[in-house]
Amino acid sequence: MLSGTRQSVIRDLPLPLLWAITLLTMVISTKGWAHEPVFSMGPETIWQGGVGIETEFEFADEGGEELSVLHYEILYGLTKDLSLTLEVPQILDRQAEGETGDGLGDVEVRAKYQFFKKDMLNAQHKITGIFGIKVPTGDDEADPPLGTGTTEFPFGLSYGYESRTWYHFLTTLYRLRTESGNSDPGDRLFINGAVGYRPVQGEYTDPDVVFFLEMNAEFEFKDELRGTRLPNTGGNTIWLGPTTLVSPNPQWMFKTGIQFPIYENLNGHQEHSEFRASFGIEHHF
Amino acid sequence: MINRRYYALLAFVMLTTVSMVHGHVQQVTLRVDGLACPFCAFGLEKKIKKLPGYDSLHFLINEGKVIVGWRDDQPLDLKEIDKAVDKAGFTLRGVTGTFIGTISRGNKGELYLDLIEPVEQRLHLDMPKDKRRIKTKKTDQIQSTPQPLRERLEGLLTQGNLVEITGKVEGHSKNKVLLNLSINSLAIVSPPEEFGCKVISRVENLVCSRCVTRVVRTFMPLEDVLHIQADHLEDEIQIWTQSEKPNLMRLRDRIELLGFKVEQIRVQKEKEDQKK
Repeated sequence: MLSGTRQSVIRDLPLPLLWAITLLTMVISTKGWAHEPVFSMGPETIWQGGVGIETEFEFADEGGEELSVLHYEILYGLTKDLSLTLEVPQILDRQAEGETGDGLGDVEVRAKYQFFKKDMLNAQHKITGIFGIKVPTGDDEADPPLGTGTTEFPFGLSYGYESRTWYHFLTTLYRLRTESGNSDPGDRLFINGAVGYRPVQGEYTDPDVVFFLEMNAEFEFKDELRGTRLPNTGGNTIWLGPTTLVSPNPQWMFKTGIQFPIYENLNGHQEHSEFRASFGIEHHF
Repeated sequence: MINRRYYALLAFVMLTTVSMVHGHVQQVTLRVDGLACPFCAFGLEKKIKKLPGYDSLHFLINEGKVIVGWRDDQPLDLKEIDKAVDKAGFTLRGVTGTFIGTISRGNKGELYLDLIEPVEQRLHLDMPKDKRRIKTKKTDQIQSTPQPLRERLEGLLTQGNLVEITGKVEGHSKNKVLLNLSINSLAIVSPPEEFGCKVISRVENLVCSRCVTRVVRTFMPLEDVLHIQADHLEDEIQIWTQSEKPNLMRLRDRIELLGFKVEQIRVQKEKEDQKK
């Protein structure tokens, strides 16, 4: 149960700020690992006993509102088929309604279980189940809020084909968002597809570059406040854009990408997205 | 063409002798499926580097191969290699390398290479077919092939020699499929030129190739033992040791612990050796 002060804050939350929370959860989407797409997850699990760390900077321009987030991720391979990830977002700058804020965002823990794998010469097919929990560690009472104030349960399936030349991924992820006081944010559904190509098939220690084209379809149901659906929330957006993964050696990877909304059907009156961009560094050992 | 190849192999077998030198590094080539990118293959590098016999590593990622330098003072444990590749998230399809052991026969007459170490590993020897069908444009011709290789291996069954086979092992131990070793070359491991002394023991109950394998597997890993030969037709075990004065009582006990009765055990004199 929420405290009385917190409930009243949610009740009095202006609609633009509700949209700001939506933007926050959109940007703090789950991240890809290894040669997965940059703007979504794939089926990759790390080897048994392997540890991966990642820092990723994301920027989103939402009309007059801007958000800069630094994600810290740590990944551990419990078995070759089961890996755990802890993701901690640090909001560097959040601008909305003329106010700015920064601080810790909502922390997420998730597990990936790879239940199908077929290895071939220089290629793999994989299917992985994804389960997680996002806890409201970000301050949702701040102005602007740094967290959503709700607990979320992301779950989904991811299929991937990887070879020395071509990659393709298809991931479906559903984010079940629980009620928080009188507020019930709408659930979100992500359908992500990506195609990748490696132009030069170098040897093990050579620098490695893979180009991707990623398309992300995002469907959000309307938020509810005290049982009433809010008209200016929810909607559908399809993002498209190029991303690039560069490994100077087998232990490091730099990943960057930009996406633009090629289709937007938002309910009521909402700010339209301009673009979102990401730059990350991964290291595993 | 095929005849020539097998005669050449026979000639190679007869002419080649190989000496085991401890600390020498041999190469094994792993054929690994699923190697799609260097970043993902790093896990395999980590797992292989943890194996006890590891010496060096070279990826041929575009060919799906990993060349591993392996110290031959450590057993080439195929199960451990298989496990390491599996834990890294890939599938081991085959291992090409040199394997040392004794030849034995299975219940159905099939031949095996029983590796000295690790003792539980037994590789099924993949024999060339008796007859090979060669397709031509007009008619199918059946060409019979001689079996010098099989005859040679059958001969080694009784002599109890240590043999060194270079070839490719395929088959997955997890699925209980026999590990098939296809032979590229075969050589008898000859006794070392330099040794402390040679012990000869006459034993009873040394009746089959499996008995020979048990003796070789027991004695070969011992630090003082450089080489061993066990002949079940002659009922004789010969042991080449590093020390000039080996403990004969201890050697006798070890043989008897295996269930063989020792009739005689003695150090062979130098003159006797030269005479032989």
